[in-house]
Amino acid sequence: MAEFPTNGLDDVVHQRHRLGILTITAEADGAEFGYLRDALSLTAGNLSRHLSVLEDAGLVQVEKGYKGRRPRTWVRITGRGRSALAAELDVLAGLVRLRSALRQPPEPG
Amino acid sequence: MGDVAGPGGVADPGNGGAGGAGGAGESGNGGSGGAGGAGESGGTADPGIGGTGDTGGARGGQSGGTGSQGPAELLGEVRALRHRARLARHAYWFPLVLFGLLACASVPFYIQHIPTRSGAVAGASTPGPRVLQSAYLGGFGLMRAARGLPYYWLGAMLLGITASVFWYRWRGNRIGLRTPARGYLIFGLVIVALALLLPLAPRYSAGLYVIMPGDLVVRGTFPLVLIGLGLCYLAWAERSVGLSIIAAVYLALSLVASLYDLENLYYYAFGSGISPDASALPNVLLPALVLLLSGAGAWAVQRRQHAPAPEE
Repeated sequence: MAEFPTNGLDDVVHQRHRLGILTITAEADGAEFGYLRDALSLTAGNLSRHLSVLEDAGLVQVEKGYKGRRPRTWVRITGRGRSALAAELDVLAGLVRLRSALRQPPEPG
Repeated sequence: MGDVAGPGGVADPGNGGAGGAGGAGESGNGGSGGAGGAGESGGTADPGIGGTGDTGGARGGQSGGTGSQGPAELLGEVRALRHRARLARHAYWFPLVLFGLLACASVPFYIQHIPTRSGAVAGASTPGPRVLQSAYLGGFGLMRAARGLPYYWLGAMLLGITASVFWYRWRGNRIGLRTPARGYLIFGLVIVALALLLPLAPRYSAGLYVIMPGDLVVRGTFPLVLIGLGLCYLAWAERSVGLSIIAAVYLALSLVASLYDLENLYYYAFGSGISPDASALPNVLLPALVLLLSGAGAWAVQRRQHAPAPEE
């Protein structure tokens, strides 16, 4: 029996905000904490928690530094994070295909 | 991705779980039904995504996890985020304008040492080590008489590449999203190194004629082609369709400028030629004009685009 597509979903990656973090960081050499917070409309605390989950899973690297006297945190996606993101998007695309196939009206006869 | 998830809560998941510690609340297409749940297709598992219920917590599952979104909506959000990130990163007007100005600044080298019809050239050939008089940088054949042309292009290429990298670095720090400019730096330096070293290879070995046809470098404008190759790399690094089109048009024009005397077009259009001393200028100025105009246009467009405010 074929495995149902949702079995391929990764709980860590699948959460929508974490998916957003991985999507943005995959587009850049690094994304700053403030950019992620604004782009995803998250509170700083909430974003921190999501980053912790991703960092613990080895999907992003978090680098803390300073610009002048202001602390700045940069987030970079890891190779593992890229793979996980690509796999997640593949599964989602597969689900979309399955959904549209299920909605096709049955052929007459 | 817009809503603010509750600040508290147990941070982990459960695909289709009960919305974190805060209850099922609004969290899901199949909030308690696991992946897919008992969806709308009569038990045949509409492939919706169970709410991951991730961060609902203290707010009673107000916005946990994937919320009420299906895979299509999630993919749509991913595309939108990606698009916005790319728009925010686009900053290619600077290298376009910079290399356009550098091409314009090379004009004196092309005016002062134009070969005569007989092939004799005015001025002496460029002094210095052979490695620095690369055919790819304007040191080939008749143009070799243009004193300093290969030196100019060597310096201009290195300046353009490093200034562009610093530009991307500075802008990335300002908006909070960095373009991978290190790859452009490496690509540019490799191109320059190849331009310097390839002409030293034995002329008849390794099929050098195939990769260095004389016609392509005889006018001394091959550095404009090298700039075009760099722009192609930048277009890839920026994931920019606009820059891809600009780079393709510019590259085609710079190849034409290396293979054909554009002065002829002036003659066909106006019935008279350009002064012999300035006859090479259209081959330099036309590609430079394309760079400057497209750079100005890109600047106007990118200025209108709203980048997210930096954390100041």
